[in-house]
Amino acid sequence: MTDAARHERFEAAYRELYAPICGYTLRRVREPEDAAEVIAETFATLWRRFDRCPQGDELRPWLFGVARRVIANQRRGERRRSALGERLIENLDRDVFETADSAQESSSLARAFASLSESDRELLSLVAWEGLTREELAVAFGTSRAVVRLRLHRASKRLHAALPPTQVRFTGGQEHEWT
Amino acid sequence: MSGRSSIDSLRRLAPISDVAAAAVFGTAGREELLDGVTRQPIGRARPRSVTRRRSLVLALAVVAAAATAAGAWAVLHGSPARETTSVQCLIGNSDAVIPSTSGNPVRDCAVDYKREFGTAAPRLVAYDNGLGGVTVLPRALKPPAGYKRLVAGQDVDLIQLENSLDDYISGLNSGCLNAEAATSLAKSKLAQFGFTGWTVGVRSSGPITSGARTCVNVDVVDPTTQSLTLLAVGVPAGLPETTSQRLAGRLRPVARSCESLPDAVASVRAAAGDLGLSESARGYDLNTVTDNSMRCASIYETVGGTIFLAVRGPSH
Repeated sequence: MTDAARHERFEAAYRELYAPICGYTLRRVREPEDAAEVIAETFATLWRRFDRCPQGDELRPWLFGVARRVIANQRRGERRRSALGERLIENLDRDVFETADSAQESSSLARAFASLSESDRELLSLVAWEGLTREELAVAFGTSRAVVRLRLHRASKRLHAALPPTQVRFTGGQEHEWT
Repeated sequence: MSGRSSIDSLRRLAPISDVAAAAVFGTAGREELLDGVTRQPIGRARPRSVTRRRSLVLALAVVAAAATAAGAWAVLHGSPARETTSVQCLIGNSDAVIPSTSGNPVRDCAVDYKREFGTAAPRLVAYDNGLGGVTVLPRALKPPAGYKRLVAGQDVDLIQLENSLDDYISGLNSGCLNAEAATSLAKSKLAQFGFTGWTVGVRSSGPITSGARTCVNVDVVDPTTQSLTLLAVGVPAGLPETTSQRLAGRLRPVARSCESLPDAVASVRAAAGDLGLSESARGYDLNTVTDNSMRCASIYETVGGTIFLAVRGPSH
């Protein structure tokens, strides 16, 4: 692949995935500076590995996996401020950010969800917020579909247990079967 | 309750939608990140450097193509670095990419350094960094391998073309232009700055998310192919007017009048001051260039983290 072709393909992928990655990140990271770093580092990783990363339908879940690892590094204390992150943060529209940030959910479902472990929340939110299927979850986590199924089953049971008796039950579905 | 409805219940807990999240850093943020990422080396992480907070304007999106074609381009036309409209200033621990203003990268970096740190920059030298860009270093510093001293400045007409296209006062960002209006505007700007024989095309930047308007407000200028590509992008509807848009509205009649550089600068400062913007507080960056070949001053407003105001015109 020539550099020009690579650039063109990357740009197409970037434009398709920019909003989903921003959404993924800002749904999990509260500080806009940290979010900007995650988004920047995620796409920088995609650029560096573009010749070796999954293509087609697997690219989106793979990139969520990259973003997940960048966020994990941040939470382990590896905070950085890069020139790329600066490019985003200096365009921050604080009004838009704060409007989203102020939308706090206080339902019993929200409380039950918040009580789960980070890994359970991540798994369930990848399905509910990012719309990933089991196959895509397996790509995002770099594991097998069977392991994903087991982890989803356990996470949904724990959410179920954390809900009041009259709340929703997770008893399986169609495209996004949970148990 | 089915799995589907349970997913819907959890989905409602999502604190922000993809559309709103993409709007948090704006169209400019998205384009600047793309520009920055694709300037990075392929296959390895870039060494970290100390970077001060500094805005970056959407730079000429020619770097990757220029790097590929650098050999042929250098033989036929000279350095591709000359055909860029931004400059990297690497002075001490400061690493900033700034929009070119005057065509003289050393001057632009020195002005920016003074504005940022309040002291005069050391003696500087501009280099073609071999990657299709211009890097300015202190004269006392030995340049890295592959750097070549820049023998000519950057193309002033190209800088002005880029500024006028990105302009919020009367360029692509002056409103939400459709393809026809944007093409017409781009052709008139090309003619204004003497670029003949160029092609202008419009393409979509990707799927437009529902709830967003389609505006043609991004340009990719490629001197190597003499092509100007306009991108139609999705812009979230219903966002309130920004300060930069309000300032552009106030500067529109000033830009249409025929003023000298000092008068135009005074008008710009007054308009910005009316909106509570302070130059000293870095509410905007004002760059001025004396050009006595012009009859009237030009004013361009571009946005990249802060508001950049470029005023070029005759001294009286």
